[in-house]
Amino acid sequence: MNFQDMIIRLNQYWARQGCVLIQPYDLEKGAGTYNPATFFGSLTEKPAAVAYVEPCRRPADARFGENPNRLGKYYQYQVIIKPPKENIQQLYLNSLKAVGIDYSEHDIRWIEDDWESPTLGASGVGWEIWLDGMEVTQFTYFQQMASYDLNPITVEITYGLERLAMFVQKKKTIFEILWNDELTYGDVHSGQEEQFSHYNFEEADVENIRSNFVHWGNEVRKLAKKGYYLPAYDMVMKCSQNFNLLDARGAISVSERASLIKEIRNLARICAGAYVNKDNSPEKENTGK
Amino acid sequence: MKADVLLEIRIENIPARFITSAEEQLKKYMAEAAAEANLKYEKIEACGTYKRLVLFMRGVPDKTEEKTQVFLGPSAKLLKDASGKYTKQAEGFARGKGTVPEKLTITNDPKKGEVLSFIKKIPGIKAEKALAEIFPKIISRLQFPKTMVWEASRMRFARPIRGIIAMRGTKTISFSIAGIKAGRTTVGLNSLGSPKVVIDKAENYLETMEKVNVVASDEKRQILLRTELEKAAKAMNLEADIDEGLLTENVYLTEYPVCVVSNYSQEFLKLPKELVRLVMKKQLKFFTTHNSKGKLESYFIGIRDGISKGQQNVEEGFRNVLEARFRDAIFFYERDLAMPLEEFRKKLKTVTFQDKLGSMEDRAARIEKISAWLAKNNSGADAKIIEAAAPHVFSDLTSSLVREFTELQGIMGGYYASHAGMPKKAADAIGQFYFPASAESPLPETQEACLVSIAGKTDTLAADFSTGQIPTGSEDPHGLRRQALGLMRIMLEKNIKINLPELFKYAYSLLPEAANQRDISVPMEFLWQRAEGLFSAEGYAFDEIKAVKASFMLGGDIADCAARLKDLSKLRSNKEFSEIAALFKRAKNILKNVNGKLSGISDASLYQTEEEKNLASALDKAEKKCGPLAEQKKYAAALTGLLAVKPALDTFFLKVMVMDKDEKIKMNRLNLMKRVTLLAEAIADLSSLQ
Repeated sequence: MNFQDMIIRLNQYWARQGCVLIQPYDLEKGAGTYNPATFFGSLTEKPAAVAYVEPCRRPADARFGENPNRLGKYYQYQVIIKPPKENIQQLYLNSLKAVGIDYSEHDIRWIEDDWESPTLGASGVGWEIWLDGMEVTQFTYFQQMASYDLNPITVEITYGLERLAMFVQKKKTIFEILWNDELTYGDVHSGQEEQFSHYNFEEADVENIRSNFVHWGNEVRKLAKKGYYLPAYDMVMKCSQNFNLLDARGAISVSERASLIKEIRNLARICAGAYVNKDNSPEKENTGK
Repeated sequence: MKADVLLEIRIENIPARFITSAEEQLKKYMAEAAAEANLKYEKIEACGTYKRLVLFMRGVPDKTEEKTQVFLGPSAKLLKDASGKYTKQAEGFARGKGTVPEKLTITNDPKKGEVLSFIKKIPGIKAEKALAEIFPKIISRLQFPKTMVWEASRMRFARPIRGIIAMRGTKTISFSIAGIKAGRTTVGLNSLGSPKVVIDKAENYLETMEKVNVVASDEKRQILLRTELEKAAKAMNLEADIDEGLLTENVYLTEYPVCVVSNYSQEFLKLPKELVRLVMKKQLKFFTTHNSKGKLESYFIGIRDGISKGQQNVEEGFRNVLEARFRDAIFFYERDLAMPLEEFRKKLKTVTFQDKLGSMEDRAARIEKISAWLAKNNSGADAKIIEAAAPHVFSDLTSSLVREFTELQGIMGGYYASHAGMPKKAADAIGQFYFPASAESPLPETQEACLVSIAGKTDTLAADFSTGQIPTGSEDPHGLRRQALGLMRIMLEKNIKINLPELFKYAYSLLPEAANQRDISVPMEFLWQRAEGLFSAEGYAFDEIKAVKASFMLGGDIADCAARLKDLSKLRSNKEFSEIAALFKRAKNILKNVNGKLSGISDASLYQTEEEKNLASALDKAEKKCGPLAEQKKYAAALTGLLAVKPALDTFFLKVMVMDKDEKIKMNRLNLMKRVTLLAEAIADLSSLQ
């Protein structure tokens, strides 16, 4: 099964389970969790079921296209369900069947891995899922988002699409994955890893990024005060991404690192606060730390 | 009729490390609850997998037994008044307990004397009814290292609970918890799509589950896995490295462990074998294999959960993942090999050790100096080797591979040093710098490696103690106890003589000024506690160990302490010896209440009695004899030599009163007593013996 078919099958499967299929959010982010659908979606009492592909960037993981298993830009497939159904584990296993993996003929392990994102002030309890020893999915019951205790709980299922495709297609490198029946993943992303590696490690303008960081932080506070939590959160995403770039450039000392992470967490909390207040669910206000 | 009781809590994959503790808790809480409810049983058992925690109560009767409850009331005198009628107080007390005054009894209370009392009998209730109350309580009581919420009642548990079986014999026990109703249904293996399984009778649970390939008993699963591993290895004419920790982890990651045998390309055997083992064990939980000569072979045994359908898929998948991990490792390893050792060392500047205590480079520089000090004070060691190794004990910390695989710190340093052309002995000293890894693990091999390793441990202890970081209770974040124990084991087992007080004085002097808590007795006491542990593990009695403490505190020569202890322990059962020990104790007790220091020199011109003179002359002889013997470490002979003092000391205590009215005579006699204790303490403090 080629890469694009895999996405189509996952879309079909999760749509049948009642998920809204949304499109990727149009800003840079380190993980699908940053998508506003997940960030804001987990904060309310309203039930939710959403699935989407999310392109992600992790500047420090870039390897000039030389490492067969590591990329600076890659794709996640994200499923969000709230409240989690009782058979949610089985639903996940069935989704593997949708992409051609009969779990009864493979070894599936749920290995303890409690996910957290210090910049989002988010944490959860869950597993990484091993498929014949290969980690293909992160499965998390969110407990906190933007430092708020969540109620009800949201479950997040994040597939590493490249990993899954390598497994399904039995490929040893990401670049050999068939995107469709003619083109490979490498063809579709020609030059990307190399160029962005140079940018991430050598070219990114550190001074400019630092000043942007401060500027956007001010924007978040201003916008949130007026209740415009959506554009405010865009700025949080930008701050987070810029932090990752500074990190890749090796421009952050240990103590600065801690203070930047804290600043982003604060900004995320400010946005969440603005949203929760506007959403007018008073019990939420009390659960904030 | 008696029947078995079953509780199965079915959960989403619980972490392997949570399970055994949960089983113990279940048993404990059940026993407590049964006692409180007066529910009898023959035996409580528990077992579990990642998917279910199971509790059995064997032989439970159909009812709880009658309970009595005693209520104490006012004084017994208040039962009836003069006219023989029940008093108001008695009637009120009875009414309050829901009874009538006729049913009151009189109890003798140890504090209040005779009082009115009501003995309430609570009849037994149906076992199912009692258990329906007990089960939700004990489930809620379970503690885990980490918990979560997942449903509307917001109960906290390790992972979501998805089903409960509660039965006594064939009957179900009904209650609900976390939105789940207890019943008799569970599910089978994940790999088979978790098919529904119905339990007809509590007694049949294990058997029914085994029929659907779920081995719920931990013990049985462990035996099964071990047997299967041995069988699989034997089929390849190899032996599996059965690491007990890894075995247990796999036992709790599976409901029915199945071995998957595979191999990997020989090219990966060029990687350091410790790295190959670590990748397989830690990253993938695979078992490595070796041939009859103990050599690592390129075959491994992975474990899968459940069934052997699609075994080839799994084998291929395991191999691909393993080889991908190896390729990552080779990528790092080759990059590290291309880097000169000095470059790694330079980068240590950027690695912080601790606030106040500088960088890892500062630490490496201190260890270099401490190693040189140790080399100077241990004439047998090759100073050149120590000089070569010491600067690079931390260099590998900045290598790519150690950043990925922190457990290999030290070991990789050894490989890189050897690659850089360092003499084997020096490279080995780097490779064994962190040895021993645990209480029973091997020590550094050569004297040089031991000294460099001791230097590292000394700096760690000195650095933490000087900043007030002394382990308390279970808090020991830097593993100082392990470091100190390692240091003691090296000195003891490798017979290395070091003046520890001097060593710590020197180590303290190298630290930054801000690290200013530099009391030598802190590391000495701390190390002595570890030594006590080692000695008592060897079977020495506590009082014997205490008898040699003074010699340790003085010079820190632990091997010498061991020699004294050995002879002391052998001799103490001797009757004469225990008698003289009592006499020494008496001498020491007399000195206890003396203020000021005694010289330990007696003046012959002040002796008043024959007994004093006799004792002095016996002491003269013994001092001349035992002193040199102790110096030659002939402790058995020296201890035996003490016996010569016994008759004189005996008569002295019998006839002489130490506390004379004349101050000078008294002081002189006290000094004689001081001589007695000094004589013994030079060998072992016999007054400690019980």
